[in-house]
Amino acid sequence: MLRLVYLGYVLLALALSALTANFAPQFPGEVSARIAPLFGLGHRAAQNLRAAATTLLDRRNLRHENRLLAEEVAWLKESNLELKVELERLRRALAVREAQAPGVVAIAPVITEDTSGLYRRLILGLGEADGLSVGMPVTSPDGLVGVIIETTPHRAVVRTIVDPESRVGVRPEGSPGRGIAMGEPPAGLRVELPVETPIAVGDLLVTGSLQGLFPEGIPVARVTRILPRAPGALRKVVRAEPLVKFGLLEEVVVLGKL
Amino acid sequence: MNALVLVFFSLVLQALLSGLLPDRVSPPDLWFLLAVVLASRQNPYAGLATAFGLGLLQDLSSAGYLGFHALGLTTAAYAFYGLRGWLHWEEPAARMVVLALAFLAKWGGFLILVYWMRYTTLPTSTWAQVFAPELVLTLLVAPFYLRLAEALLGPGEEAYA
Repeated sequence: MLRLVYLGYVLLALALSALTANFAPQFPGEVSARIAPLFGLGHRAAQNLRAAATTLLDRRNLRHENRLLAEEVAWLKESNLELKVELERLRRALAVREAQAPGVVAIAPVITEDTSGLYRRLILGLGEADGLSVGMPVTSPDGLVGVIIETTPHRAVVRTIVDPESRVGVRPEGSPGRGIAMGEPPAGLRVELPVETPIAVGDLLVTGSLQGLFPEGIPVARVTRILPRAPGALRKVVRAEPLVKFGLLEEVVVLGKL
Repeated sequence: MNALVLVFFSLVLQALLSGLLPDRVSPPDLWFLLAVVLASRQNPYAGLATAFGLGLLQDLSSAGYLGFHALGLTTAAYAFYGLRGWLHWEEPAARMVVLALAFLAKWGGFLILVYWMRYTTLPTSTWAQVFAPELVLTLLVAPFYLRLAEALLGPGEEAYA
């Protein structure tokens, strides 16, 4: 009996499907649209749950994004620091340009110092490829550094003013009398001036040779000692301390040749 | 009254699961479980009628062929009554076997109607992507659902076994 009832339902289902498909195909859709709100509760709940899950995932993404932003901030801080250093370097160059130079050729990093112990030379990180050449004066905001004596495509050797082979024409700032400052390792200068030159300890010496290697008026050294004049001596000899601390130099300004 | 609550809860939960699961995963068939639970608490004639009615409601809600799910659920209920004479519905393991076989019967009903309407059978992809996951998920959900139904409707009647 149950089997017959079941077969009846089978036939009913087949008839319903055939009839609605052929004669009222829109009927299931219309009913579905009308009763949809009955099933909307679960769907809305699912949507809310999925939205909550998405929010949680987004929060995880936000953490990731936050980490990326923190890394970016760190990079920007580092970049900012580099820019500050660059700005400071340019300011120094500007100061040199305004005070000393006929023309800045380059701002060169000091890679290393000569380690011979006798010579006091610096190795720059720029060379011929950057426009540097032998004979170019090298300065810093503090004062005169030296002159380029050797170049390679990407390196240059600077003979500092305290190098024993260095000769720089100098004069006391604000007073007449031109002399020669010779390097006196490890960090001094021996300056020979005309006997009549008025000079005192603490006086500033600046470049002052006519048609020399260096532009006029660049600070060089400060007098630390006036040596007693030997009988019959034709020159006054003083010792001076360079204004530039060579051991602390990180960058120098290379000027165009005169 | 509790039966209506179970129907309402089942339909809401069905929509909830359908919405929660990814589109590629077929949700568990709570309509089927509801039909079986109601069948287990009714005499076979009422059970078949209830299953047919539930199936019609599902057809209307899904805007499909009218009679498609009706035939499936009715076939499942008919299979349930037949299997319950062979297997003990009270035993948890036997319940799973009964449910699995009734589920197969439901799809047998689907096949009948699909062939009636289209003169063809279901493609292989349907078996792999719909039938298999739906069967697995339905059997996974079944223990919880049956416990819930028992809490709402009380212990199942065995008078119709």
